[in-house]
Amino acid sequence: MNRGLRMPLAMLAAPLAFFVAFFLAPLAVVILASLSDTANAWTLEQYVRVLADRYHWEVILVTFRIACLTTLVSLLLGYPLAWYLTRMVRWRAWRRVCVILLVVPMFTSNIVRSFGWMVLLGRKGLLNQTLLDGGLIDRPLRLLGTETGILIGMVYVLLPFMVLAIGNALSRLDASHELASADLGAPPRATFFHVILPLTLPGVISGCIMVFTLAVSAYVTPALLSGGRISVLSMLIFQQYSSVFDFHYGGALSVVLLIFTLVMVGFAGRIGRTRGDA
Amino acid sequence: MPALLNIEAVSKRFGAFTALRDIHLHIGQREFVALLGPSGCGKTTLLRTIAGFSHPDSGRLLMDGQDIGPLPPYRRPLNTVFQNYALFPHMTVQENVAYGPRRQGASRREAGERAREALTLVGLEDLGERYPREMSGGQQQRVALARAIVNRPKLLLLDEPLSALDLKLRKRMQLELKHLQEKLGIAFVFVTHDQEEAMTMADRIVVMNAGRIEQVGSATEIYSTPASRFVAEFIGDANLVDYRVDAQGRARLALPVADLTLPAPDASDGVAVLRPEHLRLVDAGEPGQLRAQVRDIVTVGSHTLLHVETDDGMRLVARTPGLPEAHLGVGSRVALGFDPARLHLIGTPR
Amino acid sequence: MPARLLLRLVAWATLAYLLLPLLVILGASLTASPYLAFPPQGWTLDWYRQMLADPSYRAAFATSSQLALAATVLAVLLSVPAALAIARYRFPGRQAASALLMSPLVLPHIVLGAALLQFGGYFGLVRSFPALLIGHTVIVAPFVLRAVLTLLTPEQRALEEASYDLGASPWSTFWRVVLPQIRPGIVTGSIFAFISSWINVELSVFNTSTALNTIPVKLFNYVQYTIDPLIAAVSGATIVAAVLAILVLDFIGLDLLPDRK
Repeated sequence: MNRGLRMPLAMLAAPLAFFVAFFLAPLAVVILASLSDTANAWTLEQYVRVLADRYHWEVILVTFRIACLTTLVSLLLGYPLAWYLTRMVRWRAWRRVCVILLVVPMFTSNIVRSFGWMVLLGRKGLLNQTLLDGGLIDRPLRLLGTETGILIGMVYVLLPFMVLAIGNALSRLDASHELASADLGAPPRATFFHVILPLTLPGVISGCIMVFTLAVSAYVTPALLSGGRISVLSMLIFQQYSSVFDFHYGGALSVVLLIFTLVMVGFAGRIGRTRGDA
Repeated sequence: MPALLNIEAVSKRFGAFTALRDIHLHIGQREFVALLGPSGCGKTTLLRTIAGFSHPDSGRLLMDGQDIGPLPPYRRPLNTVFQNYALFPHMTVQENVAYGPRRQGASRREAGERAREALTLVGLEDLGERYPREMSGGQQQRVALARAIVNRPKLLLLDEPLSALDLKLRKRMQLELKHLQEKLGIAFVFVTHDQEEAMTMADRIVVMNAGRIEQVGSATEIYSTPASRFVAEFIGDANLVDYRVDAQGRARLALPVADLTLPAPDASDGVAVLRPEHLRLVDAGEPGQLRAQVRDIVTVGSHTLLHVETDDGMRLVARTPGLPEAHLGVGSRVALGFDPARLHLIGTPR
Repeated sequence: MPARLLLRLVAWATLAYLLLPLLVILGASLTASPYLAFPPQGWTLDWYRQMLADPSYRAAFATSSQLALAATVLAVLLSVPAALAIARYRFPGRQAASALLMSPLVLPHIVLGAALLQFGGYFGLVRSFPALLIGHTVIVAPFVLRAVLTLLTPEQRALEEASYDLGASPWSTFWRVVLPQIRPGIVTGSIFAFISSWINVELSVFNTSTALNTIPVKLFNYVQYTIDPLIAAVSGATIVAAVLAILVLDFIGLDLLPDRK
């Protein structure tokens, strides 16, 4: 064998073998199972079952809607927060506290994070109590078990990823581009839309991919905040594997979710290659 | 010539560091002014202050009689060529250049036309569709120039625009910039730490040090009659010789040459400048000569620098045209002569 | 300027939104009432004592720690050579190898968990520590790979060449030049790996049992049926652990959000 190939192959042998055995092979098994029936005959029946059922379409729609809204809200809250942290905070200690505050949710379990919201959003939760005491509402709002409740919890869980992605793009921005824009007669708003936003777009897109893929496949947060009233795709998958034990059907659902994720990643990656990046 | 820009009593501090101390400067219409000085001297801060990126603590900036101090950068009738060019990486060259006119409210078509005109002026009319990163450093430099002149500013600020280019290209661009400035008929304020660059291009050079203006003058003035010890040492090579003023008001130089006195500019002791090219090798025995030993010989090609030490330990540099004479070597004994009229006496040190 | 003020208000509100649930949990975990209450009614550390006294929680904490530690060590052993091969050599399939090793970052964990459950079933590799370890290693390895790869820059390559030029063997170059350079990457990557394993539910949930349980899965199962101050105390303990991990990261100089140049 070519000497130049021997070293990298030796170094990659163990990780590749591990990943082929415990990552690719299991995924292949799922895909194969999705293409067969209980008698192990090849069939597309599982997919027909998934796609022909109105209930599944609804679940897919809800999953997709929650993921899209989570991404959108994270972006709308994340960009200002990233901007504030990278460009407005002057006092370093406060900035450090803010970043720690941002990262703590990333370092705690989905369970813990969602649990906090269960306490806050419940019928007798802090939010409803405050609103009732303040006279803003007459009856407690139902938030747990609604898409709004799930959205509040999901955005909370995923916002830090967005802020870090955008914040890193903002802090890498070369200040001279903004000066040049102002010098050429652009007021701050025009500089933002023509220079800063396009230059931070790669960060925005990578943040959106991250948030969307995590949101579309999230299981714990929707499971806890849905109160059993709303189902998302990952919850259906879990049911099939943990209680129904229909691996063929569960496989088809898994493949649908996989395709969802991969299409979004590929799609966003295409936009991510901004002009002039060649 | 009526002044285009009046800088009046501008000062700026950053914490304990004083970047600009009471700067007064007038820049004329169509004038090419170089701000020259070592790094940290305040030249870039002064340029940023004119552009509006830095706000002075005190003082005024008047452009055509109007106080531009309160105006944000995007309202000032001037443009800047940045040191690293600051070309927008996500826009083509054409879009980069059309950016200015667009922001000033020109239609897409009009902005495009003006951008093409500006690109033609810098010789890049065929490369409008490229992205900045697909261009060489010299080409990027021209794009930055085109982008800065497309708005027809009355004043163009240039922040060490040539520092990233190699020596040959830099020399060519120096002359091109000079010609462009004459063709456009606008004023240029050019920041550089390279004295040769300043002398090649500028009508007037502003020598700055530690936040102060040391001297303002033409290349000839600052070279032959430096106003301070700093200017003398910063501009070219200089032999500095101390002098004392005697009772008759004559400056007596600390040189081992008998009876050398010159009229002193003022009553206090000071330092005199003798440029190396005014020290020449002479035959031993001529009157008024210095006797010395050669310590180093530096051959540049067009001229040779002789570093010598006089018999009483003073180190001097002499510049002789062409290659060194064959018999000269390190350790050779030489005799040096000079015309006392070539000595420039700097008055009271500032 | 009103725009700046608006921005500041949005940022503050968002920070409050990030802080609120954590405060609620920590507060609720300290309540003296027998039911979950926020604001807490009286203060006590009893719930934490009760948690520590419960052998099932102690066992779950132990399982989670051992699992996260073992998965991180395995991830380092697999990812560091892989990172060196990918950064230092040009070979066919390099891009594909890198994409494969990174892909667990974007693939749904629930699907991977299901796949490993089904696949492991063929070999009896289910509901056991090794089964958990395999899955966790797959999902945490990319964190180490990514952190090390970002440090293996072309400039860093020059140091290796200098080392060879000075007569060092590849082996001593690795120990004396490469390893010290990539150590920060290994440390940060490992912390992310450890944490990702420590908080994972989606993968673990398929392979845990009453006898073998991790903290997040135990919490998950509990929270679905009942919420009480004990659960808040367990959650609070994991928050404290997270804050400690972040303070360590901060202390070793990892800047998650670097300053502007």
